Amino acid sequence: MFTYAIRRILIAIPMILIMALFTFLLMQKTTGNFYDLLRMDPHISAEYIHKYEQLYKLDQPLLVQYFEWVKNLFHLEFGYSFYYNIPVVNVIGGRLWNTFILSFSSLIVTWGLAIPFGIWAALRRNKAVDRVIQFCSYLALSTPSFFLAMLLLYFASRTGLFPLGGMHSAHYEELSWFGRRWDLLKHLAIPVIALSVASVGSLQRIMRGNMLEILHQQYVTTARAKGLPESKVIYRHALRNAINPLITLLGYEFSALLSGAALVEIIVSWPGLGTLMLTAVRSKDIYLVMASFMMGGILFIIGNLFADILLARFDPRIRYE
Amino acid sequence: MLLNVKNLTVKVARTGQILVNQVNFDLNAKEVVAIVGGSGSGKTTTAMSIVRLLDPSLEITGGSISFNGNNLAAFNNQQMRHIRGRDIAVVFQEPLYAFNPVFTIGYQINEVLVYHTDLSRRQRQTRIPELLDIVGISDPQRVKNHYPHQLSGGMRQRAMIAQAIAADPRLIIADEPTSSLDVTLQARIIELFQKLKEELSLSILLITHDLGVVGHLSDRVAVMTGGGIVEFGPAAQVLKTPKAEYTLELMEALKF
Amino acid sequence: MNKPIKHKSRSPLGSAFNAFKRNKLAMAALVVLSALYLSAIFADFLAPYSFKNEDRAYSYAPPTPVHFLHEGKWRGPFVYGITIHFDQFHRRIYQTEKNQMYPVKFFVEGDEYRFLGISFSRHLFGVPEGGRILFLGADSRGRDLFSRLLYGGRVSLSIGLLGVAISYSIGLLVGGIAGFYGGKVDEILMRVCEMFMMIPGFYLLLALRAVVPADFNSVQVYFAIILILSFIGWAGLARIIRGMCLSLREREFVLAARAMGLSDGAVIVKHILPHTLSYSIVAVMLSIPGYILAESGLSLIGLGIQDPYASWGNLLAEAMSIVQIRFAPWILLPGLFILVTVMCFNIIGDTLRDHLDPRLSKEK
Repeated sequence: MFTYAIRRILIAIPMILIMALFTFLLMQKTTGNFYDLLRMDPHISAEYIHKYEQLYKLDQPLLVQYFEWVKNLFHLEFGYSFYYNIPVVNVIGGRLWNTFILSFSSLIVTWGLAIPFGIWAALRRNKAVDRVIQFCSYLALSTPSFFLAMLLLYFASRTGLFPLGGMHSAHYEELSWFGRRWDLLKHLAIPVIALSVASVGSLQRIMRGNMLEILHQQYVTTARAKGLPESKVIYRHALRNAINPLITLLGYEFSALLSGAALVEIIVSWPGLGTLMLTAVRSKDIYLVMASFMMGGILFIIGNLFADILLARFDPRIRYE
Repeated sequence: MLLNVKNLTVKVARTGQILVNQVNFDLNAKEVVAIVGGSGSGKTTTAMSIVRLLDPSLEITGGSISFNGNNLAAFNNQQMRHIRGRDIAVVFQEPLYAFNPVFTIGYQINEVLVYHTDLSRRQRQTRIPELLDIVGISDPQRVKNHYPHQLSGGMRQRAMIAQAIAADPRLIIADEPTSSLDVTLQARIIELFQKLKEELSLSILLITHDLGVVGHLSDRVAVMTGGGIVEFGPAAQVLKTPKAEYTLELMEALKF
Repeated sequence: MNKPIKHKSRSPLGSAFNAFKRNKLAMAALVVLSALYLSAIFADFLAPYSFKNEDRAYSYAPPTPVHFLHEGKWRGPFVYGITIHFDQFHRRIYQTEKNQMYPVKFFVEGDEYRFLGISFSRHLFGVPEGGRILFLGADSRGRDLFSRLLYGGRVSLSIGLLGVAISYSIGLLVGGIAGFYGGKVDEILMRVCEMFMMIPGFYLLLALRAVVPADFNSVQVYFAIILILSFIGWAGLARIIRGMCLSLREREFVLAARAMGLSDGAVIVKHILPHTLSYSIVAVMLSIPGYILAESGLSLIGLGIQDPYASWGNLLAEAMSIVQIRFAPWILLPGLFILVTVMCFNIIGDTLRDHLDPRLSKEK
């Protein structure tokens, strides 16, 4: 099990390097003009420009530049944001964390709803409850998260139930510890709902499908033949197997959430990686764009890694191959 | 008489199609009764109805299943649960699919002990390797921590049998227990069943299409076709001098 | 002399259609989707105004009701004129002028457009000069939302098809080769796919968009977006196709073809790929929504199709302001159209897949 984890981590490292390479090549398309443009901007001091030109050895051949770039990455030197006027690394950290909170909360809500609904629908197959859930799922998974976010904002504006975007209220600093958590939750509500609905729709259907398939498996009959209570048959024997394919999906799930989160973040003004990236793209702040991009990619790779290891933990067939 | 099945009828609920038609047979303590037939003859359905493990689309519409003085056909689910695993256990055909792939062998046998015996945790921990040993698995301490896919086919089938005898049942229903094994392994399993019948005073209801197994293991045999029993009697007699036409056909077809 | 037995042809298409006839929901989805695509193709004709036609006097005008009776007398379909006043809060009040009547005429002359290279100016319906028929209200510049929705459909619906077409072609190539040859080739190609799938889509979209030169005109942006979407999307399709090819490789008809001496390429193209067709169609159907959503998302934040061209995404951009939604809720309609389109594709894709699955298990 430990060796399996190490193996997966080792595979992740070249992935990250390739991501870095890709990002680097992408940057090459624009950095040339980028520095010229910067020189023309009166707000930016010549020393900064010079410092970064030195740092990235822009006068050297591409390969050397690439190695400098990667080396700098490991020192957490991501370049300079000319829009915010501070090194990128100072901007990214907090944003990364905020996006993570959002994506992770959505993941929990998604799983928390999809699995029970999926099981429920499978156990009451083709009855009224199942049909209703199925239709709602179609509707849910077809709803664009950004559209839902807009609708929710509109709804919030009319009812005042939720804050209209952002992450903290104006008076956040004055709140108690408890008050702050509650404030955060209120602000999380709209983006998390917007993000989760579509995921719940699709995950629920998959869960239902898995459950239905597993309930026909021989080992479920065996469990009954052993005289186990029905609850154990379903929630221990069947469920454990039905969930495994979902854990495989966890990796892609997380990436989809990350990706979707970016757009939703922008709409509700949640200060995360997505909003950061958008500002960066709009202001052509290249280093910020690339760093955000890399961060997104790394979050994804780590998420997948986690899912792989989780799967091995839950499915012995993978562990012992 | 341990088990007495009288006029058992099983139909498909929606269409009324009859799968088991007024079947009669009985089984005594320490006896092996085999039910033979081709596929679709209703033998598995008959056996599964005894423990009420039928597909939800089927229902028992008539007859009685007398076991230990009770009519199982009249039991509700709760009552059936107490019978299954404890008084009547099932050994399935393909142990790779019959075992849950994500739990160890030891865990799955342990479940039977937890729900049907009063053994303490410690006692169970010792009992499990004992059971594995009884069925002829060498190195039971190691095997009990293995997952089903890590065992060979023969060992898996033995483990399945260990799971079945764990709660000391009176009757074991064995559904084609040797069909997925090669010939040498088949012989071993038959030997094992013999041994268990003697040592544990077990009765076995054997479902099979293999007349060889019938000859070697069973005391009496019922021949089924089209949902009904055409012949029922002592194994030696039926195989030597079959009375029903179908039995002859079956023996011909299987080159017995 | 025996007559040859006539067999009812059970082509896959035929049996699929039967499945649709049985499932009402799927049939409805098919009809709705066809209607949407037809309306996109004939947008010029169906829309009373060109997408560029603006009139600031009608800024955020509510949907114009079509009346049939004027002062109790039947006059046929018509609309009233509208004038704007401002109240003390500087909010717009739209006042109907009952003395100005503009009859709704059919097959009228209107804004000129080109269709298949020929100029036309007939529209399905319209009102005479001075009036304005706004079925679904107007946007900030007084442009008819109904017309822009129809034109927007062109962009949003076509990007889906074109993007998938390119992704599918690449996926077919890569997946086919990987699945057919297996072994090392397969491993390497699948690692590459994994790498592409590793990249969070929206971030890549933004990053690539940042690299696209700022002076691209809208048409070039349109194609750039298609290329970017394909660049992200081909990996998923490649994996599906590779899976199919891998399992087909061992089937008898493939071995027979190879035994006959057919080159690898011919075996792939003539024997394996046709069998993947039905599943491919399902995979394609279920991927199109992704492209439509991606383009909408991009356009929504201003990085996609730009004004004055319409796409459902950039139409929704107007709805980003909550204030506007309160007073002009009809600007949320493009979102509804996206939802319905995505839903239809999902329903059709699922129905096809459910239809194929039981057949597949029978084949086994």
